[in-house]
Amino acid sequence: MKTDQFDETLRKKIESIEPIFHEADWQRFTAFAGTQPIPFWGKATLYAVGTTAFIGLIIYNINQYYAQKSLLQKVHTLAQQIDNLKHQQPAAPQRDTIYITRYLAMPVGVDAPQKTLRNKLQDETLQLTTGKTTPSLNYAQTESPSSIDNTTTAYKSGAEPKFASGLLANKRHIQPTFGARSSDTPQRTNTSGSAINGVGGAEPVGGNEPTNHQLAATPPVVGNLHIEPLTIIGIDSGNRMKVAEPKIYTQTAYYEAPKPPKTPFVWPQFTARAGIGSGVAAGYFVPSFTTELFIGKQVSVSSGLKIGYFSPEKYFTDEQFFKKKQLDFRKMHAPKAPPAQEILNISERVQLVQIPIRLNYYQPLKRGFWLTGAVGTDVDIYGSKRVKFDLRANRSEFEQIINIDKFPVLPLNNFVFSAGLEKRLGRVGLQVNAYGMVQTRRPPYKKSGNNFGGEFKLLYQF
Amino acid sequence: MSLFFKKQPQFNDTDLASIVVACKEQNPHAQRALFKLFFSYGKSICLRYSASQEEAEEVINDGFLKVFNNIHKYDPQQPFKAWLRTILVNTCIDYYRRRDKYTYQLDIERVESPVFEENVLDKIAADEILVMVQKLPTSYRTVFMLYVVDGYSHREIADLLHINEGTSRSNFLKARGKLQEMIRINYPHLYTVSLTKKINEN
Repeated sequence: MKTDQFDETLRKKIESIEPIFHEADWQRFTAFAGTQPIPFWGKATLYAVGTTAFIGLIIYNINQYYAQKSLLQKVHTLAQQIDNLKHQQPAAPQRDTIYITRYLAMPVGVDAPQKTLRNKLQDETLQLTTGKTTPSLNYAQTESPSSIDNTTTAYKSGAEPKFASGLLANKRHIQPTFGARSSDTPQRTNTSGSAINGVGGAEPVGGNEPTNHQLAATPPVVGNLHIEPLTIIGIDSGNRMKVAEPKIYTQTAYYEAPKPPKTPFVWPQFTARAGIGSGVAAGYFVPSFTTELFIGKQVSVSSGLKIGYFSPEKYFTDEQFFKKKQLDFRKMHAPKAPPAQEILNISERVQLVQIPIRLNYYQPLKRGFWLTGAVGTDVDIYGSKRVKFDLRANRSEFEQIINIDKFPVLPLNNFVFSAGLEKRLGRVGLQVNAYGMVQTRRPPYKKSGNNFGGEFKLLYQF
Repeated sequence: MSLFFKKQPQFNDTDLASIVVACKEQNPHAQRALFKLFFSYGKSICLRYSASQEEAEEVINDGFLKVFNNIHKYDPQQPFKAWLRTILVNTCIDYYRRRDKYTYQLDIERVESPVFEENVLDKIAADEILVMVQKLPTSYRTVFMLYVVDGYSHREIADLLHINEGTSRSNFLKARGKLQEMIRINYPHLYTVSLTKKINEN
């Protein structure tokens, strides 16, 4: 067999080999490529869920921030009110009205005693004194109280009078007593220190008999209460006389809550951080400088500068460059080079200057760790291509040429999202994030489309 | 929303042009379709430049990754198969360059001129030939395949592999000699038959 025939037969035999495609081959490829292709709807759902969750967290955080602020303001106001109350002098007495109803047992159909009683009750007056002086009770009665059912009187010895609830809201008890010099009468002091003496019922406590009481011309005063005379207002279904409650004017400590001071609008306290970092993705390395401004405890906006270096594209010769790119390398990068000189070892590296803009969210965890999440974009502001190649005059002489060509950039072309962990050690924060970049548009200088990577940041809080 | 979500272009599984257009938009379904369509062709290229099935799989994956990453550079006026072949061959060469590229560079004087019987290769299955090719040293195999199957000249091979043209020729001849030797060793019965036939004929 001739050598040419041997080669030809061998070529045909080898070219006849046609491996069959299996699904596993594609799976192996996707695993090799490092990214499992996600269907369009899957991507959309992923973005939607991620964005919604992030926005939800931000809204929740802002809500919490303002709720906390409002609570703090309330606490501040209350504290101020307490302070004012401590230093405030007791105000002028205020007069309130208390009606006391008294029931008298009366036989049905007997007019005369009713009239008599009515007249008597109209003149009935309680006089009570206040202050440190011994209280006395003047109970005006022209007739012995035996005709009046003691149990129906307004006040019974030892029982508390029924005052309008509003007046006793501060739970001050007024103990009814009879007998000015009664030693067993409980006395209580109000906030101003004056003794409050209660109004007694028909049965006096102590030695003084109510029959000797004199009719007082002025309304009775119990501590800081002024009580008006009783009036009969009718007869109830049980044929008992109904007496209107006397008006009792209380001398309560009057406190007018001061109006909350007008607090000027306070900007949230801003915290700033700055730091350095670096990111790595497939065929891409990017050192960066970052500044961060917190607009709450957990939300921040960050920006900075990134200089991205794409991994270089290498070609052995300009012929290979032409085969791959269908472009004449010599015309583009070495127009003045003599045609006799070979072009070898071509290396093209794209460099990209970007401004990263991020909205960051921090969720506190235990032991100084924070969960981080961010969304944003990297704005391309400057791009250049560094082309390096060798010009070979002969086998031993090489000349290395380096050209740097600037190219126009597409500023907004991507959407970046990231998540990771941060450990805070005092003012220093160490952050590790995984990020994904989705190309919304595909500029020609970016080799790959969507990519995923990791980044590390060292931040210092001012 | 169109800023973030692009509508994926439709493509026809049998229409290469539409698949390529969809691949340029990074449509994963189109990428799969393209992979499926050219897997057989691509794998056969990778197999002949590789020492094993595993290596061939690695090379084809790497090659297709380059295809998908650079498909926006593909000119639809050119035949896609040729473009794919160039990428795959270059990927194979990249692998060769990572390996022992200067191994087995022998002097051309030591290469024996082949004496070979006709029809012997026809009787050997393609897969068996491939196994023998894969047993060749990488530098021999690469040069041999570039020259015999892919039609590169020794000058081009020398440029691609960064070797001398003479080395390329030497490696080619050595590869052929080795292959013939392997056939003689592995398939002696074919020679017996062939020689008996010749004696009978004479």
